[in-house]
Amino acid sequence: MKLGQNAVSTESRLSRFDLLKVTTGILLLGWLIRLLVRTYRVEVEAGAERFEELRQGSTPVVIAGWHEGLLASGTFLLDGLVSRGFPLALLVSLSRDGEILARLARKLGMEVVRGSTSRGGLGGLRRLYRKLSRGGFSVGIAPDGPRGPAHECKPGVLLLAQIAGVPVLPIASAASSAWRLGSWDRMIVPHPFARVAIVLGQPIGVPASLSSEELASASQELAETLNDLSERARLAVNSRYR
Amino acid sequence: MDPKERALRLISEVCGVELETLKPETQLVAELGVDSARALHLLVKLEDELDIEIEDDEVAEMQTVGDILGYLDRQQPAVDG
Repeated sequence: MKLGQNAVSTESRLSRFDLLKVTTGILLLGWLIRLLVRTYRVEVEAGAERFEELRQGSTPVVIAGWHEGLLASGTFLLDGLVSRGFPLALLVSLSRDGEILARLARKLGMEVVRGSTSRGGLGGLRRLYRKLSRGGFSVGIAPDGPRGPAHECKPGVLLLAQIAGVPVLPIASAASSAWRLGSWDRMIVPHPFARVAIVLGQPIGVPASLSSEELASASQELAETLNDLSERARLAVNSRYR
Repeated sequence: MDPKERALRLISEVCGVELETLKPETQLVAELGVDSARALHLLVKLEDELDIEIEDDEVAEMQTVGDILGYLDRQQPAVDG
């Protein structure tokens, strides 16, 4: 058996026609997202002080949130951090869908790292590690990405934090009204003018001494934390805007 | 220290085995128990200490200790510095 199980995917290669479609789509989508985000009323329901600390930019962190909240939490991070020069790198899969997301994220000002947390000789994690340890970037990962199952935490997130010696900052979001996409993650797309609640959890330190088994157990705890925070965000929007 | 010696020390450290037990034919996964976590530890330590960036397709070919040393041989001008 080899150290890296799979070579890097070539799925991201696009034909010229696809490229034209994608580029046009990205421009429109980027514009649409910027417009949508401006209509959202975003409130940090818990962990505002952690957001402030993050904004001060003292140490890099791994920001972890479920894939379903990528847009809702992502727009918050975009507006609150990236647009103010905060260095944030995002892990995006090597798939064709990932190619579109990568182009969109770059268009919106984020640094993009292509790869996965397990495929391609652990390439995605190694590139994220370089961003964290050498580039001074914080990184954003959906621990149930890139293809699910939804709300199942893979150990790569904690492993990365452990190796880089940085904490994991859990994030969850909910919207007062939203569409749900038909994708595996049933991604939340808040309606225009929706109120979006953001909840930031306690930073989670990952000691270097944790074994693989302990990391797997800690991943389960991270999943529970993210579910709790998501519920808290839902309760916040439901109680306030019923 | 020679990059290959440093690599051997790192393999020994990360895998928790005596340096003397490492042979070129030693299997990373089957004999040293290199799982994903250990592989990542090992790769980032090699990259950090030797100031190199190992390509994904090179990693995919690494099955034995000798494969890692062979890779470093091919990178010699880059890691000698």
